[in-house]
Amino acid sequence: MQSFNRAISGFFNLVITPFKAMDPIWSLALFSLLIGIIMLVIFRYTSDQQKIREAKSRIRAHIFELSLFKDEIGIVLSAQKNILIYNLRYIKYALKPMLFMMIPLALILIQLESWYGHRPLKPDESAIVSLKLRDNGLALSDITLTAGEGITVETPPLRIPDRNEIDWRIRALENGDQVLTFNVPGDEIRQKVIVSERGLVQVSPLASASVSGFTDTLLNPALSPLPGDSPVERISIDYPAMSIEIYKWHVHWLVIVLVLSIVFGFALKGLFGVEI
Amino acid sequence: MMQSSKFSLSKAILFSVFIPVILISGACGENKATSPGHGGTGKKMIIIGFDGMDPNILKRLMAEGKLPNFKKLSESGGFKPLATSVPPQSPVAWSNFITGMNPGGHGIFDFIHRDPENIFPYLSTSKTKSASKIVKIGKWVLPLSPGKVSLLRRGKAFWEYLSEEGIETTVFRVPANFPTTDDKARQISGMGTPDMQGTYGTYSYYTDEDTDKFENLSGGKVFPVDVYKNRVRGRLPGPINTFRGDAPESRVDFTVFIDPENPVAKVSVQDEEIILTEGEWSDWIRINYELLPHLQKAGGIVRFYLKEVRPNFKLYVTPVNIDPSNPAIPISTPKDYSGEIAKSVGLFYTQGIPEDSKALSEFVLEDGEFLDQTNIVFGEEQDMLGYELERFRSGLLFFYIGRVDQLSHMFWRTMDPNHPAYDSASKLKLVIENAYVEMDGVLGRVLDSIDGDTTVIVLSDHGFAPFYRAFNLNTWLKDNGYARLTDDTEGEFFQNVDWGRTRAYGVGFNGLFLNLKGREFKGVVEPGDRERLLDEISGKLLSIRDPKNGEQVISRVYKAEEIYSGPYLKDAPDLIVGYNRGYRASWETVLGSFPGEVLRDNKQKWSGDHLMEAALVPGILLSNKEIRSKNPSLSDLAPTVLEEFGIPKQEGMIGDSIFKEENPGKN
Repeated sequence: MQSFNRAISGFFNLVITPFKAMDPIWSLALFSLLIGIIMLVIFRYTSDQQKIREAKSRIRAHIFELSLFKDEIGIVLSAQKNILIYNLRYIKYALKPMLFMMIPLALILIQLESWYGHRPLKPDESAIVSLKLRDNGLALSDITLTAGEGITVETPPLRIPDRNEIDWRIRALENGDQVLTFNVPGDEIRQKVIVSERGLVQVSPLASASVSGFTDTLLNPALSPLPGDSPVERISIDYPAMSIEIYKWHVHWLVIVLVLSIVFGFALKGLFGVEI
Repeated sequence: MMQSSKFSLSKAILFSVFIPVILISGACGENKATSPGHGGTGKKMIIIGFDGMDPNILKRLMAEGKLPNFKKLSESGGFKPLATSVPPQSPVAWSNFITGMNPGGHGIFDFIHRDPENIFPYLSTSKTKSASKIVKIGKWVLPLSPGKVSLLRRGKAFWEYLSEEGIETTVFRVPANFPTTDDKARQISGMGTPDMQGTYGTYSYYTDEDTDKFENLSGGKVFPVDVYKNRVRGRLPGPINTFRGDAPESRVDFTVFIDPENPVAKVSVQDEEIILTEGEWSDWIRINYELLPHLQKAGGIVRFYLKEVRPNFKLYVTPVNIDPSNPAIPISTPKDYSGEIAKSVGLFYTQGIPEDSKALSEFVLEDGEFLDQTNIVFGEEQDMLGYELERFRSGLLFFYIGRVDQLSHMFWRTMDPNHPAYDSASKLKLVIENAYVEMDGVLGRVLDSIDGDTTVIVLSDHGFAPFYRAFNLNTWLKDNGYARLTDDTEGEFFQNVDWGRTRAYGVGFNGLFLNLKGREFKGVVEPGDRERLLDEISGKLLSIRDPKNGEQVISRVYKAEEIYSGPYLKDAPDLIVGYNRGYRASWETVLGSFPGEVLRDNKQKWSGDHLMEAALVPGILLSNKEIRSKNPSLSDLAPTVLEEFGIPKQEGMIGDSIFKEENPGKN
């Protein structure tokens, strides 16, 4: 799973690299274009284009019938019934390619979330760092946290025993990959904290976790794996959510991708000879 | 087929290029906000309003060399006392400033007005009207028409005239301007702006200590909580949910996790988590109150202050302020101006008086904690001033700071040995002086930012004096046979007044009304007896001597018609009571209570005041341009501003430019 993650992350990193210093809208537009094209290609080769074309023609024909015989109640009802039937057939024909699209789309969106969902800390910004222990008998009071030069730990540990959790508040001081060191009995865990004022950086609020968490690994491509025998279950850093602004509105990146990829898909369907 | 492909290709190119361009140009549009100074005359003027700055204190500190920037300004154009309004209350005074009129022209006579139909007191500067058309569906109430918040100040503001002439104007938090006027001036509302609960600021306090000591709170709510398994659960009150038939207070739950040993806690509210150590303030946290499930939310902002973790848990939460980045009700003109400020400098206090003096008066915050809170406010104000100075090119910039006023109210007791609440051991004797020094820094920043063509005016709406003794006007009226009660209780809101036998009553801080037939709902005083009765009461008020020291309690009493002019004179109190230095109306009498004693020592932390005879508490006026008026007053400022921009004084304005010699001075 790790190798797979690394490969996909590497690809996305490669694509995003020229855009890192730009407004995120540019790279989102590019990914939307790629998603639009990928979806068109999948649709083209996994759907029965002829049957889709036929279903759409039938729907158009019956709509035309409606306008021609709008005073004939019998014909109108029959046309409406047929429109409904061919709509359902159209949905049936579209279902198969949609199923084929789901997996690559989910992988792409997970990757995009790791780039556009959150942003790094800026200098002078604070964040909560949480460490969760496994049920292994270790006392929370045995765990300490020390910070490297570009970062500081502002609070004493806040321990929540019934959750096996310790929280601290950290504050970024300087740009760069800063380091926190968790001293756990028998272990020392170094955790990177990304501090950056500009540019796209892949960050994950779930910063480190034991590799046994398959879902966590899949959903957090920027995750650093912890050894399977680590007493620590996970470390998380509440990186701020990224805000993408369009005309004074804060828009979630997913909305931008959804809208743009649909626009690109419809714009390019003729070029790719796809009947949607 | 070929033709079809060509068409699709062209369409593709169109969409591929056009839509991203539209989107991207939108993304870039955020920097296109108009900056001031592109219209009008090219004239530049900055007015700084320091609420409550006193000319005597200012003069002394200037003489001691502690205020170099004030000194520099006074030497370049002059420094004079500025006659304040009658009565010298901020909403009245700033309305004089805004309109160039007296209260008869702008209709604001006091913080508190009363409805003659039921003699119920209400806040004078704005009113809220619920939706007039509603439909009820079960327990839900759906409005079919919008509710409305209206500004009750009448008379045209000077910036409306400037806007009409195309002069760029920014008016930052001037009091008595909520909601902001609908014109082209950029405005953020100030004093008078409510919190999300519709009050002037209601804090919340959560503690497991004995809450019996927190009785009769007027500025906040105390919630007893239990610490169980190092957790505290609380509910943060929000706006009244008018979508529900029973109109309950909306609530948001939160949990506090406490470390078993360390003085640190984590507050978890909605999707936000913050960690605070003891004695720490949080940043602003957004809170969303769900009014209609999944359909209607109201957003506000709060700061948490972890006062103590143990032995007692004590958590203070600020009033829920309107979120300037997404205001539930408009607090600026244009509507997105507050969001623009928030985007540039961060979230900020939007309630009219952000300094939480009630929390200090009610022993929820201590002196040092209150100072910390006011320092947060001042930090925000400085950031916003910096933002506006950076933008300022030409036109008018007005900027208001209320710090001196609030600190003078709360810390006079620390520097005045004659005050009943004086504590000789207090380490805060210099708080007020330091506030003046801080304002000197603000002034220095303004002076450093301007060129030689900019006119700068610095003013305050009134000065300050000690508040030693509280006078219960309504009790005095009762004791002298002018008011009658149905029982012996203090009552409130005039609930125990026998209106059929009451001839006079006091409402607000300086107002005295006759129970006049044809005006009050149960009036008994014949209009023909009005003059005689007013003369009789005035004479008696002026003869009152304080049994403690023989001092005259009331130094002047005005009849409204002697000092006011304009269309709203009919709404004025019949008499305006001018208290002597050291005296003021009691808190109880203001809202229609009748406490036992006529006079009592003021041992409260609210120890300095200005709600007395106007001549005793003038404000300040400084400029870098020669002030030629001999007796400048607040009403002179509106015509001054207009004339500086080449606009003649407008009808109804009673003052004249302070830069002209012949000004006679008006209240």
